[in-house]
Amino acid sequence: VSLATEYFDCNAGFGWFAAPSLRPAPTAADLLAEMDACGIARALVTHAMQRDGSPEEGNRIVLDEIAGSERLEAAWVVLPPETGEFPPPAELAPRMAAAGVRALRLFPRTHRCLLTGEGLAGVLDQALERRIPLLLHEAEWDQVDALLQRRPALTLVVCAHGPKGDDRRFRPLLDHYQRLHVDTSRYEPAGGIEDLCRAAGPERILFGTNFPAGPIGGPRLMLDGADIPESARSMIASENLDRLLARADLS
Amino acid sequence: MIESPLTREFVQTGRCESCPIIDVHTHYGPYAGIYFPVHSGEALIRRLDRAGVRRILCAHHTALLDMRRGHDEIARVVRRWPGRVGAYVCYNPNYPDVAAEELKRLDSGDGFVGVKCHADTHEVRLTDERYAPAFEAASQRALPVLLHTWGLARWSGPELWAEIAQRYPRARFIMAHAGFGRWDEAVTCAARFENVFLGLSAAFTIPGVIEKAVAGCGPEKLLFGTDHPWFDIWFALGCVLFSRISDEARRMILFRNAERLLPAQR
Repeated sequence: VSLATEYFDCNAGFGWFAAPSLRPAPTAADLLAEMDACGIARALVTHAMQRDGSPEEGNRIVLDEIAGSERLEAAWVVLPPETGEFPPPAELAPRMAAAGVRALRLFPRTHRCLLTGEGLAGVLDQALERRIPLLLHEAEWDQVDALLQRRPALTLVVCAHGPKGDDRRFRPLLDHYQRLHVDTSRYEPAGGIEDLCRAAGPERILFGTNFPAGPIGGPRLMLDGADIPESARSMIASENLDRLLARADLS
Repeated sequence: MIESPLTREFVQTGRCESCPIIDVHTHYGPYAGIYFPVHSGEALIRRLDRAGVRRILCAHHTALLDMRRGHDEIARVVRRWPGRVGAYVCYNPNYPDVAAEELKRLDSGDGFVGVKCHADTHEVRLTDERYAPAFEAASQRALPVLLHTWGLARWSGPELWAEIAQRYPRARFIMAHAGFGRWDEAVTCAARFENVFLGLSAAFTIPGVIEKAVAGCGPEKLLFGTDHPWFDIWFALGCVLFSRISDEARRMILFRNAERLLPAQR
């Protein structure tokens, strides 16, 4: 274990979420304080307004709230463009580039979006074509399978899956879809990270905490304590997310 | 990083030489609804060694269903690693004859250190008289009783906890999961009754719960439990080590409270 490992959390949030919290992080500064306490360098964040308020407004608010921070980066939350709450597919990449956004998130249950068929088709095609990483929350694994059957090369990160271990569901999908990834935020079974590293490779796992719904220290020490090569730990801790974000073609 | 020499040592070395760990809530063996990469045998012991876990108290998954088979298996595990693994008698109140027979293992010298009751699995409320033989056996011997407690569950919810704590004052009730979700009632119950302790398994996944419990009932009423293999040891440790409590409180939670609670002769 090395204190030099840099942690880049792919799934952290701040703001006033709908679910009651014993330790809310209302502001970006509050989140940064929590990250500092646990030695987390950077985070790809969701503002509560993006998920539990208006995603359309939240996508603006999150950028305002983290403006100037070198440690926090925003992902936009996707809605179907047909309702006028999200940019049309043709405008998506330039608007993301202008805003400095390199990733997209989906909360299909909360936002009542279809993942299959024509639901979000234009946005998903853009994400596929431009290799924009899509972080998916709240999805059932059969939805993930259906989504990737149609776009098998989509860069997808399934966040906060589980709880505990859903390996019987997702390992066949990891075998089949080479650009499918999972985060660690609710992946808690004993020895899970080591075993998954051996089975699927460390490049398919991203460090995530699900804070403030979940703890930061647990996922952090779980990765610290995993009996894996340092190179694998670094990939999971930050390098994989950096790589996925860098591949996004927003030109 | 937080100002904690204990946490820093753990992060740097993966363990802490000055703070051994006792895990009062573990399970052994595979289970139906989940794939466990590590759940038994040498692989389990190696993980305990790496993390500095001195002792675990363990309920065999099989014993939640087939008491006799599960207890026979966990007795073999205890014999293989004496002093390292202590076993719970899993008490299924739906089958009182078998359960009564299995309770005799508490006096067998086979390393059974207490009783485990999983009211939500067995669908019998914790206050049901069918648990009386188990609670009386633990009370007579001043042994720990690991209770699955889940705040919103019909079988193990907060309206039941005080009643059994009062009825069996010598039994030492460990409320596993700290009554998940009903934190106020759980903390109040642990503060009110000398014989009630809060086990932190699963509860540690909620930011702020450990701090709330330390403030509400004192660190001396909290016990470290992972629910291994449902939770990774380091995940659980990380929740305790990065919580906003003192190192003294951490040492109590991770080791001292359990050491005091467990009967020395077992």
